[in-house]
Amino acid sequence: MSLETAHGHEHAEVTNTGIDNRKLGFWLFLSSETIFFACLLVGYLVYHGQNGSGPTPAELFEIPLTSISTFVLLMSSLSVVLGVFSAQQGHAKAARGWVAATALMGLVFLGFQAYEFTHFYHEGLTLSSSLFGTTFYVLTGFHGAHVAVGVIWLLSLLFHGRKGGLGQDKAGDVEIAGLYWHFVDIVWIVLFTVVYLLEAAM
Amino acid sequence: MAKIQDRTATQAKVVERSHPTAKTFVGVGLVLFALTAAEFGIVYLEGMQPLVLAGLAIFSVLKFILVVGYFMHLRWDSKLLTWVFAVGMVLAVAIAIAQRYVNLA
Amino acid sequence: MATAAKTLGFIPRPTAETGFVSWLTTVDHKRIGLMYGVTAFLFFLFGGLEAFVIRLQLMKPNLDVVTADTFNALFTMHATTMIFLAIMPMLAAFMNFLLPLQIGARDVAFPRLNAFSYWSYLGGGIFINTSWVLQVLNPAGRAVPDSGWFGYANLTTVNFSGGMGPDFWTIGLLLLGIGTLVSGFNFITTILNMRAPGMSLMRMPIFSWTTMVTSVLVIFSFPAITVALLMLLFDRQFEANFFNVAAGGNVVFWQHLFWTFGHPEVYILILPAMGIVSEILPTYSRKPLFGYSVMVFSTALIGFMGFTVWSHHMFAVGMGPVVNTIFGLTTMAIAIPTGVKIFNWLSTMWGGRVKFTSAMLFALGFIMCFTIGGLSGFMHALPPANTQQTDTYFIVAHIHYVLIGGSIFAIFGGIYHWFPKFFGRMLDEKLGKWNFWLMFAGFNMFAFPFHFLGLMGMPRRIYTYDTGFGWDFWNMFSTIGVWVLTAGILLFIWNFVQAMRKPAGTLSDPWDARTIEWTTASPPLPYNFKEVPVIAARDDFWYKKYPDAGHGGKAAKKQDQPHAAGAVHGGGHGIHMPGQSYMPALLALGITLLGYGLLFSNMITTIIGVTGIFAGMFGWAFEGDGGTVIEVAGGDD
Repeated sequence: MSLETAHGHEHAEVTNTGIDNRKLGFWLFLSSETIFFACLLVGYLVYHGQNGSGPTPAELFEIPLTSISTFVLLMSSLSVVLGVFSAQQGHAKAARGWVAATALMGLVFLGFQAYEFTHFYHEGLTLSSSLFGTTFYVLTGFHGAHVAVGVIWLLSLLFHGRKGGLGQDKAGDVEIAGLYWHFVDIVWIVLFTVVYLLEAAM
Repeated sequence: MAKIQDRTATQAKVVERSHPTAKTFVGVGLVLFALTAAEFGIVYLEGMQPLVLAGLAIFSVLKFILVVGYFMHLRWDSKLLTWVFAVGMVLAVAIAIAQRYVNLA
Repeated sequence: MATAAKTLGFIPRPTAETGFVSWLTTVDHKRIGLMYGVTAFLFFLFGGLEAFVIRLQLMKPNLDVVTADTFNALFTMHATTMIFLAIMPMLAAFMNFLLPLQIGARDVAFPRLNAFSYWSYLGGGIFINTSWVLQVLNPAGRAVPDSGWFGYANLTTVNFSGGMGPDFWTIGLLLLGIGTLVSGFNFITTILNMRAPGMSLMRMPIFSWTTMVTSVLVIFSFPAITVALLMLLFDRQFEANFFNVAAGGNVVFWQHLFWTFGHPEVYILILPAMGIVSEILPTYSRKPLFGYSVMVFSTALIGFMGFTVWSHHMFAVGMGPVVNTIFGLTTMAIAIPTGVKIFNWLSTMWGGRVKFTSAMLFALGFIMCFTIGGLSGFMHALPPANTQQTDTYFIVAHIHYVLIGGSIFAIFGGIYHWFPKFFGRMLDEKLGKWNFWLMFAGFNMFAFPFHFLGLMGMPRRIYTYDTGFGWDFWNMFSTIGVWVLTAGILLFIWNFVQAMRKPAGTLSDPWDARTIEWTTASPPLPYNFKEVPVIAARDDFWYKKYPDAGHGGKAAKKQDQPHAAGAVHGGGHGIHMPGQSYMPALLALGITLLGYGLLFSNMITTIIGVTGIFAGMFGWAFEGDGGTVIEVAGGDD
């Protein structure tokens, strides 16, 4: 019996489908997450229009501001995909740069959300003020929490690549984080349209 | 020859079918930017509500597909991953619509 | 740097092979399966004890064995325990232990995540039952969940449940959900990716198929209850309005969300049980499973249809004729694939040389009782009949017929069948038959009268009743049935203890079985297979044992000769065994502590919990799979 250590991602196993285990498992997770957000969104839609005596969505939403934060999140998706691409090509330093940029844009998005929440709060919309308040904060809050987890994940990747960047040996790690980040982005694409834009268009 | 090995071989081919380049991604990023700008633009159009709603729906679905297909690599990856995600998405949309309907009362 | 032997820089990677640390840090699917099984069985006994007290209270009219409040707590915790802490994890025990063995893999796809699933299950189970401790310390506190297992709002809102009960229930179920979801991802990935060469999906043992469909149900239904529970949590902890009627909240919304999860959940409880029975019947009938492909298809169909019927739990709510009709029809449609399965089981035995072992008896008991449960289920599918039956003992009869007569009988059958594989020992067959007949008689004595009681109008969840309704005799009869059932279960424990006192050393294939888990040693070696098997047929082991088993037709045609390319799963030079790890248990501990912190609004516990979560995750990520490569001397082929 011989003793060796082997890092998980260093030896690729041959799988029946040709897909890496982690990648397949992670897509299953994302698939499951769609139901999570669908149910939260249903909560928002079922109670739509229940504003009580508090402010209404139309009074509160500032579409230009939210459009900017949406734009930032979309661009962060671009930057993380370039990070994955660089890592796969072996441009370790560039990959690290893109990941750092992504984390930064994630933080900017969270900053916008923090500003929005405080602003709405001062306008009288709280978690308990009305069903609109409840469903809005919980829905967008859980999305924000996902972004926050993503930022922490990206920062850990930077720590992972603190020496020598994120090269081909770590491309798999960057790819999974990238998938998560894109998923958070597409959730926001839906929320931005359904929660904000439809409100403005109605 | 075992079926399974054949399938692994064909799928390996699928994976290596084509290589997206950085240009592809930047291009998709630009389209995403344009679509968001368009959404922002049409929201304020007066008096054409059905058109605006249709436009918003189409634009956001397009954005969704672009991110999933290009940024998340589904276009180049094994079809199985597309299936995995599609099943969840379809079920999510179905549950959302059904829940919205039964909770109307 | 090459030898990343220390986790988080200072915790040495555990390598213990025996003792407490070896179990705490194990990533071996077989050990995890055993831990699931033992833990779940203990919870099963605890949930059974709760039922025992319930039946004592209802034995005669106007008894006061327990108070009304305690009674509410008992039936709530009985159902919660049996569903989430006993039956699901007992089935998970089978999945963990058997799945890799059945598909010819050395472990699941994510061994550490598998360990994490178990530890978070244990944490969640202890968490929910902590409420009993608080209840004993402060009887007036109403700490135990007492709003029924489906926690209907507004019974669970602060106005009507000021105690901690619903908080224990909500946070506890959230904790349990994490582990269950992780198992779901893990099992699906394992099945799709880790099958031995030649093991195509349509050659997989049927239990692996039911594991697959069940896992799909888990990953698509648990998010719904997660959302529902989070909403309730926000209502209770942060004064949100989801189910606050005064603010316009709709309590029926809870029901819809809950049952969107709840109905797939009952299939999560029954499909693997069907899989177990579908393995037992062919073995002891010495015939292939009748209509294998149809069985696979009907399993998948039942799984899919499970998402289309949830509102049949709510016919009495008043959803209107359209919704009621739609859900009535979809519900009745499920009888089709289910009926197909029942006929296939019967046909499997038809013309076979049937051996009535204990496992076989339990499988036969399953078919009979599950069919009765299915028939009463079909009756609920008719909205007009349903409004008569809702909230009566008729419903209680139905759920006990499908969950005890169904799931539990299958689980006991599975234990008798696979016990040699689990422990390398045999359970006594004579005791086993006594065990079966006591449980079978006891169960039917206890649950069949519920049909009568329900039709006579006895509501469920009442803590006592007056004499003169004609309910007295059947309630007494039912309680006596519980005593007989209890005797059966005690006999099983006795049988188990007796078997474990003997030394291990059973043949690898004592039943002359069909599938490849029986090619391994009993119990299997840590790496399961010395050489990754190459699969040439469905019921591969049977056809290797009896090459001219002559059933001709399909099975023989299915045989082909795949190249014995050992490339899959690192054959060739040595076997890679994933390293043991403290991190899964640490992460689960952190999450559980976070739950306690949230429950008691205790900042210190919360901080410790969050620290544990971060330490667990980072330790996990940076320690890697680790592990060793075992050189197995000589191929025996």
